[in-house]
Amino acid sequence: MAEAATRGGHPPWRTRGEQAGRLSRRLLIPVLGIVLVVAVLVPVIARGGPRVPQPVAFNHRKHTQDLGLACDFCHRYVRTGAHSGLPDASTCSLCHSSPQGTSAEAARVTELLAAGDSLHFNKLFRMPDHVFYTHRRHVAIADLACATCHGDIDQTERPPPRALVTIDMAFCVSCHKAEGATLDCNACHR
Amino acid sequence: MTRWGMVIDLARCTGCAACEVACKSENNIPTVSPDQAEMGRATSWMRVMAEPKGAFPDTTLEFYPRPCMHCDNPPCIKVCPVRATYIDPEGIVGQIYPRCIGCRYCANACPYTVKYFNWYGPEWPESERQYRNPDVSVRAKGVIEKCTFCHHRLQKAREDARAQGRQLREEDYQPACAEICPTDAIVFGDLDNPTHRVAELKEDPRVMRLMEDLGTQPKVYYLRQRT
Amino acid sequence: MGSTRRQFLWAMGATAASVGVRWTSDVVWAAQGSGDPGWSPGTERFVNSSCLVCPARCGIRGRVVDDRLVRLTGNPFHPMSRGGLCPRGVAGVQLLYHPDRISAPCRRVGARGAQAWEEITWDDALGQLGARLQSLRQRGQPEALALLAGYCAGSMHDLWQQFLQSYGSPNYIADDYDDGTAAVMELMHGIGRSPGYDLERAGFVLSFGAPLFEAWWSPLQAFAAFAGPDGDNGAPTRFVQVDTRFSRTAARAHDWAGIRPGTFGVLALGIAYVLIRDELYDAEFVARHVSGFEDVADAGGERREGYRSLVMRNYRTEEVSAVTGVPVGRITSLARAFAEAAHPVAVCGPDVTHAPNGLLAACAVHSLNVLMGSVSRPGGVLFGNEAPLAPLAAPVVDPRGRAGLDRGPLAPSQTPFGRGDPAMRFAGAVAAGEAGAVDTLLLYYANPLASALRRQVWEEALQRIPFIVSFSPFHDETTAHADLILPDLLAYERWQDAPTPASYPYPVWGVVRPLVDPHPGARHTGDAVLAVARQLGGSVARSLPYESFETLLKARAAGLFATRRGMTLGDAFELRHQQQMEERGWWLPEHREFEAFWDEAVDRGGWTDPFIDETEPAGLARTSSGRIELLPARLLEALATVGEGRTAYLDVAAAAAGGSDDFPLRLIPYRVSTLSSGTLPLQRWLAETPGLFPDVHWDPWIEVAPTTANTLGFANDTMVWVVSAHGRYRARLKVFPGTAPQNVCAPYGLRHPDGEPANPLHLLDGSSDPLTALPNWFTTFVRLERA
Repeated sequence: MAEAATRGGHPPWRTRGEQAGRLSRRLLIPVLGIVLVVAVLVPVIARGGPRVPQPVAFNHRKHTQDLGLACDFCHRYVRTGAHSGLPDASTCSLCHSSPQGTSAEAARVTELLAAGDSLHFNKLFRMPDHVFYTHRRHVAIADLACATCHGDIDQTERPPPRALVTIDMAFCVSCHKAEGATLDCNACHR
Repeated sequence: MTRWGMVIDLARCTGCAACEVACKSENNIPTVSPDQAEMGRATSWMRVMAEPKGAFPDTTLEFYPRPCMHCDNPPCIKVCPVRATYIDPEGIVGQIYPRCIGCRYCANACPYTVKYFNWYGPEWPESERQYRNPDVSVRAKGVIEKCTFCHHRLQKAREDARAQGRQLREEDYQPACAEICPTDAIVFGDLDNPTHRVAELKEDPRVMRLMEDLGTQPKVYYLRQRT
Repeated sequence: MGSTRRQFLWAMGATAASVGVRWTSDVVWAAQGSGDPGWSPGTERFVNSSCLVCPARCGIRGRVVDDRLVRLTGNPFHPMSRGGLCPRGVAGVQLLYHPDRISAPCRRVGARGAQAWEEITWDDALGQLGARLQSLRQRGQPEALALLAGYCAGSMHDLWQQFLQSYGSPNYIADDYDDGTAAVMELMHGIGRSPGYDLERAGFVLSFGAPLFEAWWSPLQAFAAFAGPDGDNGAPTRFVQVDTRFSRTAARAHDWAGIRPGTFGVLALGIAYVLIRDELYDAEFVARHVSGFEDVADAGGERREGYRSLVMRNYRTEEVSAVTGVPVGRITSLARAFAEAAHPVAVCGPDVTHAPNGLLAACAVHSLNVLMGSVSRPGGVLFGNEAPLAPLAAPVVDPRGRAGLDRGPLAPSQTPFGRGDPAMRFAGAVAAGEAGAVDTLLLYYANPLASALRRQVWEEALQRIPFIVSFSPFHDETTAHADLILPDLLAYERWQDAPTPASYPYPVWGVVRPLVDPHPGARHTGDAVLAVARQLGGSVARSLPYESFETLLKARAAGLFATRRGMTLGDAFELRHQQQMEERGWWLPEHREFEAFWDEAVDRGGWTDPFIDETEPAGLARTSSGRIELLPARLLEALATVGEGRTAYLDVAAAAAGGSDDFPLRLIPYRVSTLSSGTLPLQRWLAETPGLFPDVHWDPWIEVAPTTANTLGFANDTMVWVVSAHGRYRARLKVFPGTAPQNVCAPYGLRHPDGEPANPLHLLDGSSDPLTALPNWFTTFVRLERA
């Protein structure tokens, strides 16, 4: 229990040790210069964040347009949950446990499933911790179309490396204004 | 018009601090190390204050559970330079963390000392992250936090009610402290709705508010002990 | 040039600052981020179970989100706790996910106490334990196995008993908390169990040092009565606290009286004096159901004084006031209020019994209930029945086991009443006896090195025991000396049962069920015991023919189904309905099938029977005379032999010698509701503010009166040594006006943040009540020194 007490304690970095030595005047300008360049370039290069990889090249168009599957077939919680949910091996194996179609990627899915792969799809969006957002609220209650926020994702033939629509607070607010939805901070922030 | 408020019956409060711990559990309140706590940096949105008087054996003690008072005229919002703290249309004084610049003016302006500053980033032992409430954000270093009347519960309750196509009921939205109180000393509801118990209790002759003379118009009412 | 250079620097600085802010912040500001792989559906379940953090065993409801236990609240169906929960219960999630949980079975590899462990598999661990126990039994020494059973609720207790019995060991050593009231009930009523108090229907609760709102048997039971709508007579229950310190209970009670330590019994008899003098007692009840009240002539024609004469002669209010420090007027008004209330009840706290005259004082306190007829009546003392569980399979004892049992326990009780402190007695016997008398010691939720009164005796005892097995889920002081650790699951991950404590008169059988998936490295001790029993084979295996602890529980629940009484837990309306039905003698079976009954009991959190037949004479007294004994013959006999000169039962004079020049202040140790007493680690939420003082965090503290602090020259918050003739520890001095000037109040259950022990119980003088061997808590004097 002694450990309990100390472990509740703070990690070493919290104890403020000596301040880092002050930069000499001579170094100050070049260092600031480099910082400036990085500061300008980083947002430009990394616009939209890094590419998001997916385990297989999922074809949205094939599944939603040609086969006519509804979005909530794979995104199970879209009408009930905060997160819409992503498919896993059990969803894919409903069809792909036996070979489907002619594409090489479909064959690979069947192979992966046979090998017991869990097929972990990655999220494109990351919701900041301080935002209260639920799909239920927007899809089930407000009855918004998926494309409102997700663009033409259902027309894509390969998984996009980044989200098709950039969602920031201005995006939310413009729609809330247009639709007469609440603009109170507490309605969405937590 | 809805005005959320709270009535705390001091004659029922036993100072057990269940409200305090329930609040910490519900709202992902960070704990700090013993020496930081010693410096007064422990965070407790709900705090049971005790005020002993007299000398043994003629001692008396009053317990004051002290959440944010959610003032109708909050001094904290007047000093906030970035409007990170504000009063929403239903009377909840909100704290919008991504806006907060950590100047701590509001913490100094609050006469009830309910505003807490995050001196460090949130720290949880790896295993203890499991119990964090997914409905509540974990505050970043350098922002002020405080009691929100568990407004995330209002967000959820309102959504539940709409999904079920009905009105919000009194029992749909209760903060964690009111829910846990084993002696039902904490009553929460809409002060403007005569069918809610708070509206009735706030007319009790025993009612008082803390530091009323400052003109802050708190929405947390206390019922004095019976004598 | 100068100005442009300045502007340039400004611009650069501002940009750099904004980038810096962006990088150091933990927050990602836009919804579009770096493809976070983590997501969970956030599906939420609410599951009813029971709390096993303290012996109150309230109903809990867990909020489980995606198989993580996120929050604990009360189970609204539980009749005792009614949806409330105390802070320790709420903080249970910090036990479940505590960073110090032991993650796998461990074998000691270094020296004893060096805490060098090697993780081994469960099969290996159970194999080692089984082999050791097998060879011990084959050598014909089954009694050399001992179990130190700390907090051992419900069927876990019965399982251990059965295991030891069939194995052949009489050494089940209880190390749990005993408030000594069961001995009083045995003497006066012939019912050997702690009294149940019907607080909710009581009109007036007179508590003698019982920490009703803090660390009583069940604070939630007291809360329900305190906050309940009304007593049986339509008015709220009135609480009056008599205490040696201004406790939280005293603070919140409707009234309180401060009293000198060790004089509770005298005050009780002073109140009895007023009741008799003013003829306020229930004469009809006393005449019909009580013996020993009036003087009697014995067989030889000699006149023997009864209760009435003794009280009237010895406990006049003036004398009582002089001993107790309670003013005469106060004694009279307390007595009148007690007598005039519709349903008065006197509650005897542990502070009464842990004194040199503890048993007598507790008898004196309970005699108030007898005088007012507050026994087996609504709002009084009730002796409820245990939940009618099916018994375990019939125990089988083979000749080898019989021989072990016949050798008797290593350290039997030496005192006439109660069980005293069996753990301390056991340690003393092991430390003094020959090596090898105990070969294997099992520790089940027991941590004597932290909680026992004399730590050194336990240290010696442990050294003389060759093999120590701990089932603790956490590392603690005693587990550090173990040879084998078999970490248990916590109550949120396992099946168990949780009967309410005796203070709640109605039988409640709470179900403890897993709320989340169990920790992969830990295992239910019940299942581990069953596995060892299977391995041992023979009589032990035949006595415990259960596949798992869950099946054992279910088999026992069949008894509840078969009694055709009671109900699965339900809301207040359902409870009342059931009560009224049973009162009229009806029982409407809700379940035709046991399976349906079991499922519903598990779903709702348990079973209860909300009806007690108060007209049943056996609920009043089971003595040979069929009457309540105010002057039990056995007590008088015992007093003649070990009473140390005391000749009459009612001689409850204060033991209160004052302090000396060296040790001027009396130590008053007390239990804080937020702290555990040794077997569980501190939860951070609780340690941050363990008590009344908002500025005390983590540190152990003591409370001292302002005048005392002034005299000693100590300011508030000074670190001091608390020194007795038997030890010392460091604590923060808090000035508190609720402490009597001659006392130092010291909460126990805390350690310093660096692990330095701070247990006021280690300072006690080691004296005890000669009748019960319960240790004296309030006879030790200390001095304070600057640390």
